[in-house]
Amino acid sequence: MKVLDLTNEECPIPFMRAMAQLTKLKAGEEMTVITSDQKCYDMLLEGAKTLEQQVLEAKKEDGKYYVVIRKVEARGRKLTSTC
Amino acid sequence: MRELDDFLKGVEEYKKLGVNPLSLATGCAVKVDLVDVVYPAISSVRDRLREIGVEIWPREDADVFVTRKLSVKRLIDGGSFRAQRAVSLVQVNQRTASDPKLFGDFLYHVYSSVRAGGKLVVGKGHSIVTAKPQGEVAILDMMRLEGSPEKSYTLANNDTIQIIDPAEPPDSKLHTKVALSNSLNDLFVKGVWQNIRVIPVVDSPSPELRQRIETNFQEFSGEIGAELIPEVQPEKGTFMVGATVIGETDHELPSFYGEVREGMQVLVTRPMGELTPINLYMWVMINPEMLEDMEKAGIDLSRLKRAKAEALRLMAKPNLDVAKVLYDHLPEFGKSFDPSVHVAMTTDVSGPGLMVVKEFAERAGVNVEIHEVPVIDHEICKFATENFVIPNSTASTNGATVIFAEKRVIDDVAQELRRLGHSPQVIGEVKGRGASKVRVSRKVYELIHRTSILNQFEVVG
Repeated sequence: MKVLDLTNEECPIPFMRAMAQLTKLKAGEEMTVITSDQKCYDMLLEGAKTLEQQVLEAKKEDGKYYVVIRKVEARGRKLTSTC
Repeated sequence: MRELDDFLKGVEEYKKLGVNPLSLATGCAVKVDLVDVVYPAISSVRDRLREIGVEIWPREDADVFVTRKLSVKRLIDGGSFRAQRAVSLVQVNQRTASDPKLFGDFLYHVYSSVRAGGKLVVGKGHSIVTAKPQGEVAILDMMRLEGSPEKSYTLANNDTIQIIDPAEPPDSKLHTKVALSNSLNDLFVKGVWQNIRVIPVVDSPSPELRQRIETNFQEFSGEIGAELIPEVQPEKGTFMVGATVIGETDHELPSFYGEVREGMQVLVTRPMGELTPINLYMWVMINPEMLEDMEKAGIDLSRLKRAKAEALRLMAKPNLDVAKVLYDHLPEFGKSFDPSVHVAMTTDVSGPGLMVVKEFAERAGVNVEIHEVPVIDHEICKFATENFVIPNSTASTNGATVIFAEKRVIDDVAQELRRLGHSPQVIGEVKGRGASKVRVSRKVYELIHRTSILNQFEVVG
């Protein structure tokens, strides 16, 4: 599973990096995003919901926020990387 | 990479002013959420405000009233001025912006600090968020109406912008132009362009920067033939650029919702989606891998920069020509609508993008078929949508005008706009009265991925 440790990045960069990474995943693949910023944590959860992506886990531990996202195909259309 | 260095330098400059331009690129809230905070807050304090003579209308577009002699005075955080109407701009910190109770308390405190000498109607409100905890402020432009009613309407509106392009400095004329054009657009979209008055709203961490932005307002108001009304300004040290604008029209307004009929055409005055190339530019600067992917998809950086420059050019251009053309296709004040010569209904393409067609189909109670969605660069919008950069790549600021009218009127309007250098395009047709369905082709998936918006459309093909 891909792990993106973005604890040294200031909001909204963790969100931007995580969303960019999400496009690279194939359906069913998972990634963990780690941020130290609560706002970015909220944005990641909201972004995943908006994009109909599955959040498997969201937690705060030792001052860090962890979000585990599984890539799913959006309803009615295919979201793919252009690579 | 020089490009990236310059970009990051620009971002840092804005961050010193307390604003992060990247927040705009990620859809971070710059406005207080209407549904979750503003409307519940107004509901919770409405009765208490009525007791002190204040009525708030939670509308998003311009306030409209029959013209009378008008005097305007700005109050900041309360004060006294005899007036019947007001346009309000409130800036609250993130804590207040996230809690309807706190926001309602803030509103009550503001309005209970105002003495208007009778009933006061707040016809237009605008609520924004600041990252600065001590940056909360309420700016009320109070309007006193005296004398007899005239055969004319007055419209008042206000708006602000934060950052459009971090490559431009904070005192850029471009930013001031976008801010003012954005506020004026709610007047222009109604065909209102006479006796325009501009009351800038400027706050800044430095007096020099404030002065330069105020000079921009003076210059730009002069360029569009508007009267600039200098007023007191907030001094919270936040970065804020916007304006209250007031205009008049001796014609009726294009809100003949009951007159929208089967066979009428839908025209946009120019392509939509100005925010997409600007946002995508910021995303590829932050994500070098995305830049590589974009180039593999056949879009090089210079093409993206051209699209961004075009978007900025459009956003900074006031839709004054459109207002004048609409005015010429509206009945005189108090006269009846004639479908063979008049425009029935208009709206502007704002944050919801193509979704505004749905909103206005609902107002008119008609079904609409959209066969074309023009954007500045379709491939760029498609790439931005596929890569989660923007949930709705048809979103605009100071966007195009959408016009509903009979074909002969649309032909006439389009011809006039082309003569004035615009690029109007017929995008659809009214299919008759009904449950306000808006039918679009599957190609819309290339431009919008937000499900809550897509669910509003009937996607076919």
